[in-house]
Amino acid sequence: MSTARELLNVEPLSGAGPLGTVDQLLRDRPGFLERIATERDLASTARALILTIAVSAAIFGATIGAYRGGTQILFAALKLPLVVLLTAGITCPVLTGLSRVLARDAERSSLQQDLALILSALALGAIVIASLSPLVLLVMSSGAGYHTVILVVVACCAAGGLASAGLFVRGLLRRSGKGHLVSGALVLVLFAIVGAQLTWTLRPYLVRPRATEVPFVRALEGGFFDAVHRSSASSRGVFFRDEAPLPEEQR
Amino acid sequence: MNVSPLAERQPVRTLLFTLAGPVAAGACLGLPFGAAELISRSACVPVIFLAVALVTVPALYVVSALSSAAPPAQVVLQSAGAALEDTSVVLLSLAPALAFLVGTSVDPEAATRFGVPAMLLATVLGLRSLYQRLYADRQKRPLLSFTLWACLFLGLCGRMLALILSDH
Repeated sequence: MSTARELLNVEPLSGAGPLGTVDQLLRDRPGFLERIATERDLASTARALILTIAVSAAIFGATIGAYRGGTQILFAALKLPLVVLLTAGITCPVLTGLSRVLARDAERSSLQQDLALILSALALGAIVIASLSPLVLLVMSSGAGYHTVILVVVACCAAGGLASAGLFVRGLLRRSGKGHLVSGALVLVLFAIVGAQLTWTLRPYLVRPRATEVPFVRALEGGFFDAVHRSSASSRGVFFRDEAPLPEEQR
Repeated sequence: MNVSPLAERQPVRTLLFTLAGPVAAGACLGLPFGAAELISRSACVPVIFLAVALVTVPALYVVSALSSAAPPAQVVLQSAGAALEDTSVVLLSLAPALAFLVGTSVDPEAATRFGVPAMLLATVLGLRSLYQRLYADRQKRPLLSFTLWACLFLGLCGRMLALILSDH
């Protein structure tokens, strides 16, 4: 007599191209990390992961762009994958460079392994935030205000970030030597800094529905940390301009 | 362990590789101030590292010898070269991030704000590498005297870096 388990037992997709890679990333993360550690088929794995990040981040970007609608859907769908992939490209060499200095010869990882690990962590995070898109749509469609939607988007990105960080740390823990953990911690800090700056540079993503014009990116007005510095100075009564411009003056 | 395989085979390439990281870091420090300042700082930063190493490494050898923990002089020189190479590796790996952060900020002070911690990190890791190369295989490891020497190295590098950063 066949049991329910036998009836529902479906062969895993592992090995069947990009879908197989995503399937293994979701259902067999230890096996996936083992694949990276043994440098098995890293090139095709990396391609699949980049495609996964692009599609998943585009889905979430389109979702938050839908708050304003129109061209903002396309703009946000294009910009969010760029933010993730460019940040990964900038910070990956740091992991390899630091592990070369901090780890012993036998424990060093290659640039391909480090790139695969970072991409796999980001792909998992991107899949998580894409899966939370229906939640964002629900909040938007229930008439929530701009700032409420912002908070929901931030919470979704935090959930994706936690998933990414978890996989990244698990991948580093598989490597022998404390040097990898130290380099991983430094890379996480750098990723946050570079990611914040790149996100700020490519804004806006969530635009108010009453906005008449939607630029692809705003003019370079300074960085994320410049804005934090100005805000903290303003809170201490130190101002760099006479008054903030009114909305009509900015048009 | 004290000498990188690249240095054994190709000393000129090793020297260029050792200078590449500080040159890249100097370029990032000069990025907001125009081409002349970019070239000037690209040249000054490697000179700072080499000059301070030249002045302080003999002192390290003397202090180690007085505490009966000194490896042979040639080992000290080779280890210092390998440690500079490690510093360069870290700076080279940080250069893209540094260039991006400095280039996308309108505040010229961003070069100092991001560049100095990056160079401090690379130098500290290079000093750590030097300590391991010198004393990992030895019974006696003069941690205190090496730490004091490292503070002197960092202080001299910081002082000279402050001079070139205050020019603008």
